[in-house]
Amino acid sequence: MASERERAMIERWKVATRAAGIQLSDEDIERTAERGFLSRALTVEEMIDRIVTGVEIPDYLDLVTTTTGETHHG
Amino acid sequence: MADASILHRSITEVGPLIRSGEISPVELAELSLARIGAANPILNAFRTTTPDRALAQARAAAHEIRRGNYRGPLHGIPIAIKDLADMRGETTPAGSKVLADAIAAEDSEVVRLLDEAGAVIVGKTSMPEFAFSPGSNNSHYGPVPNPWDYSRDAGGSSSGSGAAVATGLVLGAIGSDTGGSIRMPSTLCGITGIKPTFGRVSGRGTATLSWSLDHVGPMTRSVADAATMLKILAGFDPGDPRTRRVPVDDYPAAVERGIARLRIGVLTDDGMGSLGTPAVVQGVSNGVAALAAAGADIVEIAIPELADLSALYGTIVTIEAAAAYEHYLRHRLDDLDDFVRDRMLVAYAYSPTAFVRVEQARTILRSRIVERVSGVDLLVTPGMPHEAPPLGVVQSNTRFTGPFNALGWPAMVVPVGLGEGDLPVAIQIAARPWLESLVFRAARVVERDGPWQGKRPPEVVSVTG
Repeated sequence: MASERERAMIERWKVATRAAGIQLSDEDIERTAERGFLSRALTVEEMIDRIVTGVEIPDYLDLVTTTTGETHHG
Repeated sequence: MADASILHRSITEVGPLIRSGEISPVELAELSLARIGAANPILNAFRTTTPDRALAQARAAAHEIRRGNYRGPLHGIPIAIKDLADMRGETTPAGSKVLADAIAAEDSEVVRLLDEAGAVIVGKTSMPEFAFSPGSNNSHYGPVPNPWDYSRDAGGSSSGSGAAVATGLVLGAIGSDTGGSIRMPSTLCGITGIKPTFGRVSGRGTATLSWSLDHVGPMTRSVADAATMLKILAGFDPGDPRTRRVPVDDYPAAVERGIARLRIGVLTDDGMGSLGTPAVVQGVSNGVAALAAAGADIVEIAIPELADLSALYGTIVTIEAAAAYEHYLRHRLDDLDDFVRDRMLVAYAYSPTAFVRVEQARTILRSRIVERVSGVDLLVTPGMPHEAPPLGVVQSNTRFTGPFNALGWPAMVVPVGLGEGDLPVAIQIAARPWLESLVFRAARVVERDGPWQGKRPPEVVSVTG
């Protein structure tokens, strides 16, 4: 019995393959999921939720130093 | 007149015999081609041989050497190429049906470098489609039996290269490694193989599986041979933006330098429980004992982040492979191997932002792992957690190999024993980027003082055949 998250992923999968122009029936996708090919995707999506927390985007535009050594605020 | 037993010797042994004229490159090429012809119905190690090119190269080598123009240690040496590297005038199916007819207009950079070194390229070795399997499974061209037991798998994806080197069909081979594809067949076939640092060897002209994880490297029967081949293959290539202008060490000279006082971390925990079968654990322990006896300082090290990195690497390769072969998913879906097709299709199940977040997680895990290994020079793990699985069955486990593709660090396997069913097991030695010389030094100690001592699989064909 597929979990709610797995069902949502399967639905997204069907839409994305169609959008990419891949001729795959819904039944083919369901069969691929049943063969266990989806389990890593579920695991990894949960994992990145756990690992990627509090990532701060560096302020690349904060300071600029010219070749003469002058510093400017961007 | 040499017999085919010469093909069981190492490049470093045969090279001087060629140079002195005791063995002719032509004779050696003919022996190799004859042996491949006899063994291939059993091993399926070669997708094709290239006798015209090989014999022309061998004749040219013989001529040059007679005139005193010896090019170096690969001059006149028979080498095999994984069937994803372009050779001018030959097809590069990369294990697929969809690429089967395209003829390469140019040599790949690794083939060009081998050619320049005077190597004799005898053929192209079998592999799963697009190199996208840890096993040898291939519904188009068939699997590759393990030379130690034909009911077992040679491993993937450089399956044919592993079997060809282990059985003495050639003296060395080119493999590629996206999650362990040099190191797994090397482990399972009982040979040495190194995945160099990411960007150390050009991938120009080799079929892509995963742009940020693919590595090209040598598979050989000795550490010194691997060092010899890597010295020739390594370096910056303006045609491959992934390569770097990092100096290439003299690896062959480094091999015998020893490891006294180096600090070596031995993996005790990768976040996935037991490190392997009893023979794997014992083999690694024997290898570590050799390193300790040679003067290394051994410390235990736990890196539980490897479990997450292993899963992440699998996602990266899936999404990058789908990006590389989307054209064929759209237009030739039914011509793809079922296993490979399904692995690529999973890429479309991820959320649109997943790849960015996977790369963020990769960066975070990399920095945590760098911190964990900051006190050691080298890291030791099993090559694989198990012996060879049944032929054509995809059971090989990339947990120890895949993370080093995600990190980009050099990693080499050396056989350290025979396990269940008299099948080989190996130790893996890894270092931080660009430190291949350190890897070779430790690998050589394990080879010289460890339990393997040049074991060979049963003869696949008569050595005179």
